[in-house]
Formats: sequence, C-alpha cells, structure tokens
Amino acid sequence: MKKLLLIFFVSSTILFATSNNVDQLFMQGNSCYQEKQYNEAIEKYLEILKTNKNSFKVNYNLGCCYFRLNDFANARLYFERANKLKPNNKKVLNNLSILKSKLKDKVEIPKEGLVEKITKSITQPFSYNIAAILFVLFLLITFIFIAMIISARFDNKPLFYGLFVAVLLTFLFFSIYNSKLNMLNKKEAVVFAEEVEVFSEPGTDSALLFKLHSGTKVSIEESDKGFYHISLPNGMNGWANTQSFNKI
Amino acid sequence: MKTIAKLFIILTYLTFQSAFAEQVSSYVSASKVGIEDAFTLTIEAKNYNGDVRFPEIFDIENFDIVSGPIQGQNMSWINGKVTKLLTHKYTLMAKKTGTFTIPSFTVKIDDREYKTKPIEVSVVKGSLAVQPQRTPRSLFDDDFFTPRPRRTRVSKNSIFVKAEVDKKTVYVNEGLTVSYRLYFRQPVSSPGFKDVPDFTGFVTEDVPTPARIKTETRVINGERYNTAVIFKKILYPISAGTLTIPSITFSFRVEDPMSFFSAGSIVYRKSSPVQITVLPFPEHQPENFSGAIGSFTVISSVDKDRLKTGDSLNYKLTIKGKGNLNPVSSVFPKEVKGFKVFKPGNPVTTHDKRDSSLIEKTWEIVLVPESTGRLTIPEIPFVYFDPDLKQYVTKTTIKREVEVGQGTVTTIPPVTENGREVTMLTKDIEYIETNLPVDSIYFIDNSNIYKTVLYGMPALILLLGFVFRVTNPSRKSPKEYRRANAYKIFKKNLKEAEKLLKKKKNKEYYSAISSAVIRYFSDKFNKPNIELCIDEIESILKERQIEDGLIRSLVDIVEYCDFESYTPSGTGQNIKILDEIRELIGKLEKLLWKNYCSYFL
Repeated sequence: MKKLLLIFFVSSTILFATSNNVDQLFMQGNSCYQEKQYNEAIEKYLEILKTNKNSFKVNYNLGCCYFRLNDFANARLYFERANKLKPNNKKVLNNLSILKSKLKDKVEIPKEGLVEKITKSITQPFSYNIAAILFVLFLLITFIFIAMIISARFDNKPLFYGLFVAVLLTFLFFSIYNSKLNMLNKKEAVVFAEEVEVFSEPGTDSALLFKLHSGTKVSIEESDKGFYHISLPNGMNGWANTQSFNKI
Repeated sequence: MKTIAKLFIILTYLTFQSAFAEQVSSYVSASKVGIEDAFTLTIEAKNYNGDVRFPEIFDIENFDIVSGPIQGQNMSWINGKVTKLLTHKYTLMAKKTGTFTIPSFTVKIDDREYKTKPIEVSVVKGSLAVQPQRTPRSLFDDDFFTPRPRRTRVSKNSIFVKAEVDKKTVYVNEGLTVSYRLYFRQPVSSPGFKDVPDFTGFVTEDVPTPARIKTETRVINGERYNTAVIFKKILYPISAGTLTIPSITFSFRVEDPMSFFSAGSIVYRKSSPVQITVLPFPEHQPENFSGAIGSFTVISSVDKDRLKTGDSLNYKLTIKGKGNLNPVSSVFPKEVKGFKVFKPGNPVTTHDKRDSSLIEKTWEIVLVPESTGRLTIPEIPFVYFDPDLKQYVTKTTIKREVEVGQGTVTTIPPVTENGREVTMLTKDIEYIETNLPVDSIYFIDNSNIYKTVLYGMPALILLLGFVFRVTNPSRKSPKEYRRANAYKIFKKNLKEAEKLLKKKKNKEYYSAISSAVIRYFSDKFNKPNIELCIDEIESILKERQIEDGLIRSLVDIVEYCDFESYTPSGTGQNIKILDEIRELIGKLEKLLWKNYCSYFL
C-alpha cells in the first residue's frame, strides 16, 4: 500500500512538473506574439508540440504566428491541424477563410447535396469522443440483450424489442463515429513549394495537368515512386512530387 | 270630425298643387354650334318646394365641360304668385363635329325625382359666333339686362400667349426660367390649362404664381397689348444638346365688354415651342465637384465651442446663393479626426421670400468627440460650376476649433434617426488562444480502457448469459423445468387451438382448450397429466389461497369446453372463450409466481 502511494505521488509530481514547463513555454510564446516577435513565439510553440502534439491551442497559435509572417503554407498547415483536433471551431474557421482569400489558388468547393447536409446535421452535434463512447455503450447494451435472451430466464418478447432498438442505435452511432474517424484519418497535405506541377502519371515525363501554389490543401489518394496522387475538392487530380507537400 | 276632414282635403289639395307646380327642365343656349364655340347648358328647377339637389356632372359624352356649374337663384312675384327659380349652368364645348345628344339628368327635390329631357345639339365646323352688335342698347329696352348671345368672336391677334426664357443657352443642370406671357387687348379672366405636356429632358420646378398678376403694356407690331405673366416654371435640363420646351395650351374666358352679366366665352391659346441649347460641363472636372451650378457661398457654424466628452456638437453647414443645389447630397466628410460623425439627416432647403431664385440649403451634422483636447473640424470645400465665369469654383468654410474636456459621463452617442450601419473596414485573423492550461486533445478510442471495453466486454457479457443459462435451476430438475415453462407451453397450445378454430374443427378446438388448461396445471404442480381432473385442480388452487371467483370461472370454462367437445353439434364457435382463458391463466400465473416466491422467502 505504501509503495502504491509513493508511485502515485512521484508520477503526479512528474506530470505536474511537465505541465508547468509547458504552460510556461506557452505563456512565453503568447507574450512574444503580443510583442510581435513572431519567430520567437514560433520557437516556443514548436517546443511544446514536441511533447504535446495534440494541443489545439498551440497549433492554432502557431497558425496565427505564421499568418503574421505571411507564411501562408505553414499557417494553413497548423490551422488545418487545429481544425482536425477541434472541428468547427469558429476562430479557426474564420482564420482559414481569411487565409484562403490570400492564397493564389482558389479552389471551388462543390455545393453540398441534401444527403450530405442531413448527415452533417446528424453528425455535427456529437464530438468525436462522445460518438465513440455512445457507440460502445449501445454495443454493450445490445450484447446485454443477447445475453439475457441466451440465459433463457426472461420472457423473450420485450427482450427482442429491446435488442432491435439497441442494434439500430449501435449502428447509428457506429456510423457517426466512423465518419468522424475517417475525417480524422483522412490523408491531407498542404502545398509548401511556391509552385507544384501536377502530372497525369507518377513521373515528370507525363502530361502536365495543372499547377498548384503554396498554401493549397490537397487530399492524398495514394503514393508511388516519390509521388503523391493528389486530388482537389472539385475533382481535379494528378500526381505530384512528395517533396512539395507537408502532411496535415 | 268635419273640421278634420276639411283640413285633410285642404292639405292634400295644397300638396298636390305644389307638387304639380314643380317643374324641372334643361336647355342649351344654342342647338346648333360651331366646334370653336362655347355654349351653356342650363338645368333649372321652377317653383320647387323643398330641398333641391342637382346632379353632379363631371363628364358629358362628346363635350368638354369648360366651366361650371354656376349656380343661380331667382324669385319673382307675378300677379301675387311667387315663382322660384334655381339654375345650374355649365359652359360646354364640342369635341368633334356631328349631332350629339346631351343626356337627361335627374334632379331631386326632397324625395321626388324629376328627369330632364335629352337635348340634341348639332356641331358644325368653325364658329357660328357673330360679332357683338355695336348698336348701343337703350336702357329702356326690355332685354337690356338679359345676357346677350355668348358668341363673341375673338381674333387670334387680340389674345395670344408667348413663352419667354431668361436664357437661350444653359449648362446641364443649370436652371432656366420659362415664363408664359399673355398678350391681350380684350378683357380676359380666369386663365387655366387645357393641356400641359410632359417636360421630357428636364427636371421641372413650379414657381408659385402671385395672387395678383401684374400687368404691363407692350407694343408689338405697332399694336398696344396688355401683358401679364400667367405661368412660370424653372427647368433644369438633364442632358446636353438642343432641347425643345414644349408648348402649353391655356384656356381663358373672354369677357364681353358690352355685357355686364355675360359669363363670357372660352378661348384656347397655345404657346409656341422654344428651342434652347444645353452645354455640357467643361472638361477637367474637379474630383469633389458637387454637381451644383450657379454662384454660392458656404457658411458653417457650431452650437458651442466648449464641450465635454459624451456631449454632442451640432455642426451647421449652409450653402447659399443662386442656382441649382438639387444635385448636392452631402458636402460634409464622412470622417473627421477625433470625432464620431453621425450621418447627417435630410437637408433643409428654403427659398428666399422676396427673391425665389435665392436658395439656402442647410445640413445639421451631429459630432461626438472621441478624445479630449483641442479638436479641429477642418475647412470643408464646396466645388460648384459658375456659368457666368464658365469655370469651377471652390469655396471653403472656415476651420472650427472646439475645446473638449473630460466629462463625467461615459460616452453615449446621441439618439439620431439616421444611424449608420456597422460595416467591416478590413478583415483580419482572430487573436491567439491565451488561456492556460495548454490543452491536449485526447482521443478516447486510443486509450486501452476503451479498447478493452470494446473488445472484451461483449464477450464477457455473452459468457455471463451462457453461465446464467447453464446455472438455471430449471435445467437441473425436470420438475423445475416443467414448472418454469408451464405458461409458455400453455400459450403455445392455445395458438394451436386457434388454428383449429380457423379450420372450423369445433370439437377439436374445445378439447384442445380443455387439455391446454389441464396441461398447464399438471406442469405447474408436477402431476401426471392423466390423473389430473378439474376437481383436483380446484382443490389445489383452494389450498394455495387463490380467490374463489377466479377458481369458479376457471372451472366453468373447462366444464363448458368439455361439454362442447363431447356433444357433436355444438352451439357454434366461441372465440371469446379463448381470450377469457388466456386472461384467466395470465392472472393465475402471476399469483402462482408470487406464491412460489413467498414459498422460497
């Protein structure tokens, strides 16, 4: 018992110490930003990301710093990362829209269809974690109903009704969770090179389809021979050198 | 009685008499007229007794109503008889030649309606008017006071209208005054319009005609004329080029100099069109050109020169002068350093009472100081075009300085009706996140607990289900199993019975119900099926303290079923019995379950 207490104490102090250090770096970064020393602020923030990769605030602040330095590719990268961590945050969406207006490439996003709108309105209210928890919860309830039917100690009729509802809800939350998971795991990248040539095949000896400029977001379909097969929201796609991109 | 009868007779006689004497008629001054002549239509009521209402006539087919109605009243005593006369007179003119009918009109006297006769009038070309007789009339003539025939001839030269413009060459937007001057050698009265055209190509402004028309004498072609300006309009040409001021047709009443009573006849006179040249503004137009044309001065004033923050300052800007100020919307800048500028309201435009060409346009602007100290409202330039100098002129207001002290109240903008909508000046990204602690977004499905729950728990639950099934005591002893499943089997058997009912096998149906009940109790009480009869069931149930009523109805149903199954021709199908027995056994199942539980406890 004493041992256990000791372990708890030590581990909590370590946790506390690291979090303290991170907070300090964060505050330093913030004050640098306020004094318009954006490069220093970026250094501090990047230091935090080494230990805490999933910080929404730090990713967002980094995006702001790069935006102030007119490095739109980096700004896009960090804003998109922040957007993945916390989707539909107002600040991020606003900054992204302003950033997009400054980019050379204007990619038209096709209008949402009815089905997309409905799915969006269903999935939007649940955060990733809530969807995951609800999925597991209803999965367990489904199994409890199955177990009750197996045990053959209860009247089967209400159990079957319950099972039916539980299975439906499980499927619903699984699809919500799955769509969120897909969004999170979607392979996307930001163009970092000033200009990228996109070819019809992996290799520069094929037809040149179009050119992209820094700051544009693309989704990566596959990769081969040092080339990414990229696609744009409007359906344009082709192969481009991996070196010109940074994955989100 | 007699007196009453007499009175009645007299009364009826009187009313009859008066009613009889009432007379309504209409007539025209001439049944044959020229298209250029005016004539009168008279509607009269004679010897009326009561309230006379003449029709309101606005329109007569094929005729223009030039004027009217002129009301007249007359009373005369002839031989001790009173003759009352009431007339409405209209002056008419034909629209075209031909024979037309003036329709009949309805005149109401109290509640009585009288209709006039329609009148035929033939209209011919030209004029049938005769020159008034120059022979002097004697005072002793009978008809001295009666109106003369109203067909006065008015020559074109004796009355005409000329349009006069104050300048023949103007700039775009520069006002020009067109005056319509009447020349007349015969007495003329009540000028009016017959036809006012659209002044296309101009923005027009009416000049109010003075109550008293000033007349002056002019000589044209050696003839003396009395002249008067009867109508004035200010025109602002919209575009450059040669424009024509269209002609207006006026109507006049020409009075007969010889007749005092005559209403006169109507003549129409058309003014001649006038051509003017409109010049465009010269080139090199200044950027802040206001569009005003003329010659002006600008004046500014403030209502106080000392104020505190939170107070508002009224800045008055006045442009004064001769010319066109209509295109000027606002001169005051939208922003003044150190002040919040509220959108000025509509300007107030006033004309000088003595000289209507003198215009004054005033804006009142509300300014709220945003900082303290000595604040300056800069000179405000006003650029206009001076057509006399033929160049653009800039006039500025003088600089105004105000002292702003620290007020005790926080700045409350004054309530103005014309506020300005908030507009985005520039867009910028939002501020960084500064709140501690640094967050770390955690995805719950990465945690081991989540994975364990997701993959492990369902299996565990299923396992538990199996364990419960295996450990079920009813599985261990067949006795328990029978007891536990008795109700389930009973329900199954009832369904079988229902099928028989549908197949119309009545005998089998009743025996199936009966045997289902027996089976249920044999399972429940662990008794062999064959040994059990309804009497035994009854005694066991009584032992278990089940209500007598329930037992009674159960026994009734089973006995009824047995009876029905043994008699080959039953009274038919009884579906009700199926529901009754189902309900009954359901109740018993619950009671027995309770019984069973209490037995264990």
